[in-house]
Amino acid sequence: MTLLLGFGAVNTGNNLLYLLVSALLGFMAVSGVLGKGNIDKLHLRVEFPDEVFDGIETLVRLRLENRKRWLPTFLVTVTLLDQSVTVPIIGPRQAALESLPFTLDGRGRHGIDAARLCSIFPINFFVRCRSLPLGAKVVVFPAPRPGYGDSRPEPEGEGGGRPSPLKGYEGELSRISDYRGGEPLKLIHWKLSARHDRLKVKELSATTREPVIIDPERLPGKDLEERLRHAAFVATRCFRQGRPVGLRLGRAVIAPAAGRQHKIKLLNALGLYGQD
Amino acid sequence: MVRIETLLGICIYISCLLGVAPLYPYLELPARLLFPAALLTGAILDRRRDRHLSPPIATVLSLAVFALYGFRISLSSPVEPVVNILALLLAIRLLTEKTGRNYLQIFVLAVFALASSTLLSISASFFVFLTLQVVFVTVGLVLLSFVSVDQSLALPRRGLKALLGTAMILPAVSLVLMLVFFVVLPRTRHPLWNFLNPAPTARAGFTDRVAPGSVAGVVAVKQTVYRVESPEIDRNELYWRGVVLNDLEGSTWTRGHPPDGERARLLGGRPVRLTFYPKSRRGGYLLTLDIPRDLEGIRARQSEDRVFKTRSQIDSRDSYVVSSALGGTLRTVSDFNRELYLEVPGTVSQRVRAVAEKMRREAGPAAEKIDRLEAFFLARKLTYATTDLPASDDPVDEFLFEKKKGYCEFFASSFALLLRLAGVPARLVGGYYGGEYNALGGYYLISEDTAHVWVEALLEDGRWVRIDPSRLASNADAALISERAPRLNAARRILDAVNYFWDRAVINYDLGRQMEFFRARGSELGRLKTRLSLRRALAFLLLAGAVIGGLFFLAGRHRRSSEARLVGRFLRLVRKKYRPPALPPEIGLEELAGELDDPDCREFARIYGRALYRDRRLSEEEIKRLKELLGRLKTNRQERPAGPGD
Repeated sequence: MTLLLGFGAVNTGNNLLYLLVSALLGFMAVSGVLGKGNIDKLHLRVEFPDEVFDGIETLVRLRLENRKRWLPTFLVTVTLLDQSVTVPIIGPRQAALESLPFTLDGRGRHGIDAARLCSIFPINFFVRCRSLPLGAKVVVFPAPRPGYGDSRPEPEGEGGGRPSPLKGYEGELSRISDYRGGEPLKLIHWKLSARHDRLKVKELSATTREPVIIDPERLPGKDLEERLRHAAFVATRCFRQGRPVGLRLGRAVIAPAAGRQHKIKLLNALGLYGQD
Repeated sequence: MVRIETLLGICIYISCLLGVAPLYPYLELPARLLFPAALLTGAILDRRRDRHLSPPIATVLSLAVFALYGFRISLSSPVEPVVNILALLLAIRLLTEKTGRNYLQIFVLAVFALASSTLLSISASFFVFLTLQVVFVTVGLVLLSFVSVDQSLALPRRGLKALLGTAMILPAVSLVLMLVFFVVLPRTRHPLWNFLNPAPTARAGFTDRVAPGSVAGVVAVKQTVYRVESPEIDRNELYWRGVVLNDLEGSTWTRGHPPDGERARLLGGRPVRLTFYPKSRRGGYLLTLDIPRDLEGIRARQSEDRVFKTRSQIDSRDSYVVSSALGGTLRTVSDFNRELYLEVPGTVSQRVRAVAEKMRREAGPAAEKIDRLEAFFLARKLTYATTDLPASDDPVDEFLFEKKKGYCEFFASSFALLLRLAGVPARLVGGYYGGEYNALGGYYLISEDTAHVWVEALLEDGRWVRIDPSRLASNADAALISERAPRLNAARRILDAVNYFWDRAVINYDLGRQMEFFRARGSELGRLKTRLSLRRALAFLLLAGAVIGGLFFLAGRHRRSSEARLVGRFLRLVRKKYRPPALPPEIGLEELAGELDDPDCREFARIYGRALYRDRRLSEEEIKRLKELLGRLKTNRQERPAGPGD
C-alpha cells in the first residue's frame, strides 16, 4: 500500500499524498522498533515439577519476566518442547506465570537449552522471534509400570493399617498444597487453583504400613528398563499406601523411609541408575 | 474487563468516517446515501452479532460496484468513479461479518479513501483528517493483532490502559517521522507516468470581458482568490492589476491586441516585491500590483500594457514573484496608432454624446478633460450599488441619467466611454481593489468580492494615469472603501493564516524548495562548524549530559521509596560481599540473612522486618541504623569469611 501510494505521490507531485506516505513510512519504522523492543529484556525461568516420569504428560511452569523499566510486553508466544503458550500482557518489571503441558521421553537427565519467544506485536504483518537460553535441567524418572503379580489387589489393612501423619491418596482431606507434578490430576483443586493463580492439590491422609526394600534386579522384567519401571511402580504404590520404602541398587542401599523428599530421592536414583 | 474487539470496532468505524468524510462532497447520490446507512447498520449488526451480509452476496455486490463505476473511469475523469467505488466497497465491507482479514481490508480502504481525497481537495483540513486517521488506524492495527490471536480476548482496565498507552507511541512517533520523511522523500519535476494524471479542467472565474447592463444584480462571493506575501501597503495603492480591456463594442469591453508599436516604460515609484499565491485558476492572466515591473516564477508573456498572461495552467501549488513600483508612472515611449483607445460604438445616446461634446469644446488638454469629467460624475450624485442595476440596451445612458446607480463596471465603462468621446485615449483595467492584510502571516488576502475595474487615460505627454471613477460615487466611502476594509474577526484571521501556512509549507513544497532546504541546512551546518569551538562544544555536551543524568536520577529516586532503596542497596552489597550463586527472587530478607550468618545482615533484616510486618514506614532512627549497617557492610566488604574454597 505504501509503495502504491508512494508511486502516486511522486507521479502526481501531490504533497498531501506525500504526507500520507510519510506517515505510513514513519509507522513502519516505529512499528519495527516497537516490535523489537517488545521481546527485548525478557527473562524466562522454567520450573519443572518435582516428579517427571518418562513418557507421561505433566505441566511445566513458566515464569516470564519483563525487565523493561517503562514498557509492557504484549502477545509473546513462548515455545518450549514443541508446545507453546501466548501471554497477552506483562507489565513493566512484572512477571507472568503460565503452565505448559509437556512430555519427556527416556529416563535420566534431560536438559532444555533454549526457549523460543515470538511476538506479532505491534501489528500482525511480521512475526519477530528470538531464542532465549535456558540451561534448565531435570531428571526424568522411569514411568511406573506394573509387572507380574501387581494386578493383585492390595488387601485392606495388610501389615496393620494405622493413621499416619503422612499424606496419602485415599484418606480424608488433610491439607491443600502446591502442585508438584506427580499428583494425579483428579487431586487438583481447580477452584482454589483459579483463585491463587497456581495449581493447588488436595492432600489426603494416609495410613502407615510395614517398610519394604525394593531391589529392581530381583523384580520380574525382561530387561533393566522394564525392571526399573516396575520398581518405580512398586515404589509409588508403596508410598501411596504410606509404607516406608527403601531401595537396593547394586551394592548401594537406601534405607526405607516415608515422606515426599524420600520418594523423590528414590525415584531420582531409579532415574539415574546405570547412567552415571 | 473490556473486549478488545469492541475497541477495534470503534477504531474501524471512526477510521471509515475519517476516510470518507473529505470525499463526501464529491460522491454521487448512491454512495452518499449508502455509506452512512451501511455505517449505521454495520454497527448495529456488529452489536447484535448476527445477520451480516453473507460473503457471496458481498462479492457479487462488490463486482457490481466495479462494473458500474469501473467503466466510467477515463483519462478526463479518473478520480470521481474511483472515490465512489472506494466508498461503496467500504459500505459493503462494513455490512459483512468482521474477521481478521475483513478488518484489515476496511483499514486499507479507509486509508485509500483518504488518499484519493487529496486528488479532489487540498484543504488544510486534510491534515486534521490525516492525523486522526493515523491515530485510529495504527491503534486499530495493534488491537487487530490481539484479536487475531484470540477474538474473544478481554483485558482488565489497567491492562487496557497499558496497551493503549503503548499503542499511542505508534501514531505519536509516526507523525513526527512523517514531518521528517515529508521533507526528505524524493521529488521529481516531471511525473513518472504522465498519462495517469488527470487532464487539467477548465474552471469558471476571471473574465476578460466587462459588460455592464447584462445583469440586474451581482452577488459578491467571499471566496479567496489570491494570497499575496507583502509588506503592508497604503490602502489607496492596493490596485491589483489583472487585465487591460481596450476594445469596446456596443457596451461590452474586451481585450484586443495592444496597438502595434506601442512601447511603454515604467518611471519612478517605490519598488516593492510581492509573492503571489493563487488560490484558484485564473484563466491565464496573472495578478500583479499596479504598476508591475516584472514577474518571475512562472513562464508568462508580458504585454506593453503590463498584462501578464501564461499558457500554463495555474493552480494552488503555483506561486510567482512580482516587482512593482508603487506610485510609478507608465509612459509610452513610441509613436503608435492611438485609434484603438478612441474607438466608440455608434449606439451611444445623444445625452451622453452631448456631455462629451461639451467637454471636448470647453476643455483643453486631457488632464483638464479628466477633471471636468470627474466634476460631472460628482454632480450627477451617482451611487455605488450592486442591486437594481441599469439593465437596458444602453446601460451607460441609463446609469448616468436614469438610475444613477451601479457598481464599478458602470462607473469605469461610462467614464472611459466619455473620455474616448471627448478625444482622450482610455482603457479599462480589471483586477481587484483592496484586500485584507493578515499581520500574523504577513500577507494580503484577496477575495472574489473585491474584484474591481478602473480606468487608465493617456495624456498628451504619453503618461497613462489611473482614474478610479467608482470613488466619485456619493457613497464611495461607505460602499467601496470601507466595504473592502478588514472584516474578518480574529478567529477567522488565525484560521486563514493556518491555511496560508499550510499552502506555503505543504502544498507548495516541491523539488526546488527541497533543494533549497538542503542547501540552507548544509550551509548552516557549515557555519556551525566554523563558529563552534571545541571547548564550547564540550562544555555544552557536559552540561546537557549532567542535566539529562540529573533528571533520570531524580526520576529514579522519586519512583522508589526510601525503604525500597535501602533494601536494593543491601542486596547489592550482599551480592558483592558474599557472591551467592543466585538469589531467588522470592527469597525473604530474613531467610537470606539467616543463610549468610552475618550479625549485621541479621540486624538489618530484623529492623526492616519489624516495620514491614507491622505495615508501617521506617522511623528516622531505624533508617539511620540501617544506613550504619549498610556502611559497615560496605567497609567490611573485603573481609570475606573464610569458606571451604579459600
